[in-house]
Amino acid sequence: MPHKRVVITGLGVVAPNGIGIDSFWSALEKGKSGTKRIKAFDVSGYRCQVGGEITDFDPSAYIDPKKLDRMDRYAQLGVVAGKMALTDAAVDVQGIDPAPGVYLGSGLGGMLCYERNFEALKNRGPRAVHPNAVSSSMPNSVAGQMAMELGLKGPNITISTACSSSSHAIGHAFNAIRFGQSKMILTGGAEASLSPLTFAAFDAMRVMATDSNENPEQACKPFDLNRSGLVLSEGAAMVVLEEYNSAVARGVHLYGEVLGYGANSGGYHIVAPDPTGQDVVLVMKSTLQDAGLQATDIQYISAHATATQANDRVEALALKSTFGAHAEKLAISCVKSMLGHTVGAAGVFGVLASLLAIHKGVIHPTINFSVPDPECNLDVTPNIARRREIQTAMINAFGFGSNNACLIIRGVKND
Amino acid sequence: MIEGPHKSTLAGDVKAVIAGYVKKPVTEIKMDQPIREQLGVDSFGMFELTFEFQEKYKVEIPEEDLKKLLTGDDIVNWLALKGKQ
Repeated sequence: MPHKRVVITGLGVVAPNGIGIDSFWSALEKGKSGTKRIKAFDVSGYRCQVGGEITDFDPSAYIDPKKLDRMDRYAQLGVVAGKMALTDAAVDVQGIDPAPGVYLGSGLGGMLCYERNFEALKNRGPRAVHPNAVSSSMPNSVAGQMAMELGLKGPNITISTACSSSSHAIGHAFNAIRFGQSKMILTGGAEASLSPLTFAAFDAMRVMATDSNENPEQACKPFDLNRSGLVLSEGAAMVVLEEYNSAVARGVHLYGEVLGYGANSGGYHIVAPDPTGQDVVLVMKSTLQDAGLQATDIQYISAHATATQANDRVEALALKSTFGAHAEKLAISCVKSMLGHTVGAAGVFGVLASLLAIHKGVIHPTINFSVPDPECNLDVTPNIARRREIQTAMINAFGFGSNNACLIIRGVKND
Repeated sequence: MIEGPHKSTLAGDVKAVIAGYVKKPVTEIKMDQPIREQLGVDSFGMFELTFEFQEKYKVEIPEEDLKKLLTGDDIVNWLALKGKQ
């Protein structure tokens, strides 16, 4: 049986530099940073004091306040982004058979709730732990809340693979539709990582930028010679994936088509990338094969580019190895330069950045770029957006635990 | 039967906690009617609501008593018996 085509028909986003797709795309186009000095908790004792905090998010504008107490912040972000995506897709999910499901990526789950209850346990004993501690902090809490809030009664699956979580979620949703198991899936990622313990844990790993506490918008510098580490962020983004014929029959707008998905492991180190980059080369090649494309078919790369010295060096090396001479023709940019690192939501943010390029012909810039790194000598679209009509994009996402995910999407004609 | 100034204050406080939990004005809380049916609170919600009272009044509500606390008045009477105001 031939595979089904899978298209993207709805987008939703709550990001540190924009809420709603128009606001988010506009921010990307302008190179607007969302990283700032953290206000959510006292950061004075931390080495890094900068994060991608969303300061203008009011969940009660979207969700019945009665339900908010049972949701960690990451679930609130996810439910709101999901609601936006379904609204954008203009769909009544009750009319879709089989019932649409949720494939969700989150690297950390409800850590704010977890930390609050751990503090209660430590300070006041076991009976101070709230009855909803489990249901609010578990990694699949957001997927469950989305199903209840949005009436999505199909498969409800959470993938937790650190920073690649949402790319794997989208990849598996893509497979479920192309192999005929589902007709529509709401997929993406949600993360609320700006909590005292989580932030301290990343700080302790010495992977975060500590040189920009006074210039928080300039903290994340992917591919720059002086890049100094990642900037931890919160956010959620969702896409509606839909079987092509079903979407066309509904007459809904098509943002793009998912063509390929690849996954593998470096089997190398729990947090460090293999310096040879061979696992990254393999995952990109397997994704090209899955999509039935040649390397020269790719025009744009939304790089993982965390802005750590190791990640960006390895990713650049792998891109040059995979694409050969074509690497010089690729437009590349990194959304983390503006957003920071949304951990489990990072992959889907790359998808949204790629759709900006495909849909509007705008390659967003990699901001905070000033000194080229000879080892990352690729066109990373420094500082200023560029107009370029592209059709096909690759999105990279690599996660702690030595795992990689890669997606390929392309433009699709709207009749 | 609720009597006396302390119970009256206690009843007001209990009503306020219930109202805060269900995010409704206190005027909509009928203390003599079952909380679950009246306010659409599920069984898990009753555990959450009980937790609110345990936290506020620093008491432990045992399992056997938990099942008997159906209305706002039940909660007021139980707390009054424990000497809470």
